[in-house]
Amino acid sequence: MSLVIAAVGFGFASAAVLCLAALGFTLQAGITNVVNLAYGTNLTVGAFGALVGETVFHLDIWLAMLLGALIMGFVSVFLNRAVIDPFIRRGTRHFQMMLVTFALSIVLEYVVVLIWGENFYSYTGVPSGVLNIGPMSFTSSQLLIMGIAALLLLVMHTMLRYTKLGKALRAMADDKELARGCGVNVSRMTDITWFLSGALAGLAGVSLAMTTSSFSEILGSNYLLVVVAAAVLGGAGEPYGAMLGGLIVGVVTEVSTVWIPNEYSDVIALALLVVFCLFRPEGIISGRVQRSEEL
Amino acid sequence: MNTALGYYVATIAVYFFVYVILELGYNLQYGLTGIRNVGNYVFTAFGAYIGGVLSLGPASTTLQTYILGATLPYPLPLVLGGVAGAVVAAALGFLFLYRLRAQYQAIVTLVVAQVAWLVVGNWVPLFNGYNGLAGVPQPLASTLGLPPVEYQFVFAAMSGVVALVCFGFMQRLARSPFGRMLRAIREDDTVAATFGKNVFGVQMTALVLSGFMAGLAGALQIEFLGAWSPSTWSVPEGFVVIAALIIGGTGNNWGAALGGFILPVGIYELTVLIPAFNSPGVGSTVIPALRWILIGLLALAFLWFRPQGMIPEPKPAFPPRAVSIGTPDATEGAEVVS
Repeated sequence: MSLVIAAVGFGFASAAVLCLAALGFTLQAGITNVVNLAYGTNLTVGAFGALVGETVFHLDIWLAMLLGALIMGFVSVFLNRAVIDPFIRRGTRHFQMMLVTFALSIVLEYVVVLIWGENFYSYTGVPSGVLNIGPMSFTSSQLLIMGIAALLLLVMHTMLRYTKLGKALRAMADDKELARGCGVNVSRMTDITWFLSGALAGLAGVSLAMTTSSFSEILGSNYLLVVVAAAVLGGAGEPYGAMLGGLIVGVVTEVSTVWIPNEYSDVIALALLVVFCLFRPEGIISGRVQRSEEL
Repeated sequence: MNTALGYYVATIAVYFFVYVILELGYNLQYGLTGIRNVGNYVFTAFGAYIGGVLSLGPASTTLQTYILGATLPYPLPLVLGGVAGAVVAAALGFLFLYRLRAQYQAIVTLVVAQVAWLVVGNWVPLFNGYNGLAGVPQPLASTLGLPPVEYQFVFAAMSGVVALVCFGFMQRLARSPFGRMLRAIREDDTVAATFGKNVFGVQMTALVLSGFMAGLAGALQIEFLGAWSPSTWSVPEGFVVIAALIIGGTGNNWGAALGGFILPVGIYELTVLIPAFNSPGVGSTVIPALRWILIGLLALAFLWFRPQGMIPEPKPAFPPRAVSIGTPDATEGAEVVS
């Protein structure tokens, strides 16, 4: 039993990363209606952005994390303006749009390979102390990441619920044309959405890289479908659902390692994703994307 | 012709034929039927594994662990590799064709591909895990007793025959009433269902046929290379097949063949040679990375400038009498709808 509780502890740690990543994915999917298969490599770019911060600018790891998030945020805005938005304007259909993001993901991943090669890297400044809470044990970086994630989720909640910006974003997710008609600056909101999504991906990528001992160019692309699982579980396009989905997927996959080998823990998340796609595509909380005819 | 060049030409030829078969199969799925399957490469992988273990002999005689080891007479491993692809396709079809629409189809197939990859890689007793299978004997090599280079050409010719048969079959299928039904389902499956077509059954048939071709292509690859492991069928390799069809032309068999030539052979395989020119100071990952970036950008460029591909799908041409508004003929009307 204590094994299970310890696993739940690990689950919270990985859920923190997953919540951040899934929130960015679902926010952008809900508002722009694009399933972004390049989102996984966004995490990778964020992680390598932080690596630049640490090795080139000699920043503290947490400042490097911020830098990684900022870099990815701007890369995300750029990719949207340069590639994705033109395709949307032209009316590229859903599956072709996925192929566009698929191609983008390949390009991004191999740009990373071009610069850093297919090598393993790790941050030097990751705090390493271990803290025991009952049968759960956390490293201090895990605790800090959980703190950051909780804080950010709270900030995102406040932003979405109580500010004019959040109201505009939610209006756009419900009906883009109606929001435009009501005076929402749609193109600016789209930029903000892509920035937020990219920055959250960057943060999640750095956090993921910190919690694994070393990372390479496949860090994010291997993680993409787990993020999608969390987002779909919570209802695609539903920010609170993504937080819940991240928590569930994170905890379930870690707890499953009590009974099944570690290598297969992703399989559990992926199986959850398939089951939800088949039987409850609207997610636990019914999603807003599903209400339009196709995701 | 000197030996090295002979090897090279034969290798390129085999790759071309293999990719023609792959692209024809993917064209049947996506180009003609509109099935959004991103995990097509799993069919190829299982075709290769089955084709491999059925020629390797029992696992106890080699240093690898795998299931179903046997030494079957030659065309059988190839055909059974195709059957393996078809079986996997059928299993996948039951999972994702029946209930899912649009982008959920793509996500689920991507997930299944990932799960298959993880399981094959980690479960060593199945197909020797991440190390993969190696030492697969070349078919008929001992029977023919040819020198290595000549043998390569014989193998290229064999795969050329398989590719040609697939091409002929696909040409007939695309022009047949069944092909017309596939295109009707691609354009609007609700309308097709309203006219009494069994949408699931037809999609399933297309998927299984396509899985068979993908399996054939896989079996040909493992017999030619002698080895197969999860690193040869990761996600980017699957993307090449999709991108090649988009570049060549979706819904057109000539386009599929051309795509198989341009992307996998023209760019992927030919640039493998560039490191041989040996520019000092260039890291070993730079050329492959540039190649992948080029493939991604090329796919994006085609999606933007020419989404119909280099050879677009021909506009269906009906014989004039079938569309004339004059006296409607009952039998002709039936033929147009079927």
